[in-house]
Amino acid sequence: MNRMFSSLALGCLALAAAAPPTISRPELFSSDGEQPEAVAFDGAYVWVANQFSGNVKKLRPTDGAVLGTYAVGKGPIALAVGDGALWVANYQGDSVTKLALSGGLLGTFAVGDGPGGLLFDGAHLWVANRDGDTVTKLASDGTRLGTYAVGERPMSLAFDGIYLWVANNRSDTVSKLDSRDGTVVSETVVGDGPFGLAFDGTHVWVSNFWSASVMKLDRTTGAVIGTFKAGDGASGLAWAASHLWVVNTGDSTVFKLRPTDGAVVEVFSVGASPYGIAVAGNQLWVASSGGNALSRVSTGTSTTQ
Amino acid sequence: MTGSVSRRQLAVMLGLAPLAGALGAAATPPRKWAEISPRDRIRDRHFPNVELVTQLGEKVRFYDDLIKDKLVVINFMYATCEGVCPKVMHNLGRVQKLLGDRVGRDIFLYSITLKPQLDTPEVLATYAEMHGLGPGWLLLTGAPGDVELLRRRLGFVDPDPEVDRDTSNHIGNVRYGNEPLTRWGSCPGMSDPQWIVESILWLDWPQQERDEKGARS
Repeated sequence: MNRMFSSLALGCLALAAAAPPTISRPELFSSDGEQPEAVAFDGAYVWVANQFSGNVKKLRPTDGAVLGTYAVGKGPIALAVGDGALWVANYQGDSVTKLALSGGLLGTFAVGDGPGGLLFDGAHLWVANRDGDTVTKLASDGTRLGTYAVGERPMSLAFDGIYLWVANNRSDTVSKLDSRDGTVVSETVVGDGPFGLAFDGTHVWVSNFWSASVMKLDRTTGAVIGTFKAGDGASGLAWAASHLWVVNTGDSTVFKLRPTDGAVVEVFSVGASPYGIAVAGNQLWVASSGGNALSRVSTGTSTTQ
Repeated sequence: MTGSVSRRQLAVMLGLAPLAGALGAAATPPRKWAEISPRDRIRDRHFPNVELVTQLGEKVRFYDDLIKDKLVVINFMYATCEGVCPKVMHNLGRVQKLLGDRVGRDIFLYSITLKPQLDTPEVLATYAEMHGLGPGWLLLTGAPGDVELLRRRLGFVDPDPEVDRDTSNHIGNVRYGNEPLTRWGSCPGMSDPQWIVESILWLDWPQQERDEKGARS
């Protein structure tokens, strides 16, 4: 029985052997900063966090023009949009900055040790504290509502409407937390170095950095129900245009993955060492730290910008 | 003369021999280097004991704290590099994974910045987080002159002086070595990480041998 179960599980490892995917080269924009790791879209503008400059930049998505530069805390490495504001995780400052979308400072709030992942669930901001192995829940006015223990080096967060999902990079697990009180409901062993998370409306997806794979998790049980090949250093994830988009840091590519069978239908060659990805309508913006650049990828067709 | 030597000539030659020896000795400087152990010679030539600062803000001495009695892996990089550095650091991340918990226990990785003016400990700490550096892998900065001395002594130098002058140009090599055993090697930082690990472990020595050598010294 166990063997049969193992065979079924292995059968889920899809090595899409069909026609090789198209390779596209999207348009590159200078980040006009230093080593951007995170990017976000506020509905009108693109924001990029320059971790060594201690600032964020606001870009016009049509042409990548920099419209403003705003100082935040030390080592900004994660962004989220919510409550009509931009939230910035300051890794070195152990704080979160809240900026008005016009760029004005609304507040700076102390969080845990080494904040490096953010998610706004519609009412609260969740912060993954990479060095503290915790997540912190903030009210939209910055009031700290709770801090909850998770696995080692929590990198990223996803929200399915009820539960918060946390990728624990050094524990090789994904935690599922009740977003009301932070109770850990389940913990799933995934691949080597889970990094990014995305929710497609039905399933939770996790990228495994060192395994070069992505996994599809059952939203109810947390069980792994599919494992698919990704590129070297699978990191940021996004769900857009009915496909999963996987940033591969080591390969400097973005994969467009068909969620039903894991087939890579298109490969985008982006700037060096990409991590962050943001959906902006029918475009994706990818932050490449090694290339000091942003790449703009079209989600709708295989033609590049 | 048929090549025979008279008794008188022989006496003169024998009498002069000690003098010839003395003259010869005076002409050749004493070979003091031969009295220095290979380990000390390598240390003096390649490992200046300069002060560096880690990404955690801790001050360390290059030889005393980082090299002596250790198996180490060394490369040069800088945080804003748009070339080979991020790729080599990603590759060394794989090396770190393959070496497992030996990193920080008896194998140490050191990445030294080529741009110490820009790469403060805070910048290096953020860079370390981005690349997922675990315990036992230090990013190092320091006084520019000291870092330059290290770069030269460790041989991370381009033979073309024009190219070498611009520290943005670097080949992304990795040095590795077992200091007490005086075994050193290098390889391209983009080599297959498994091969890098095999090369590092080729310089390894068993714990028992290490303990015995330690007990003898």
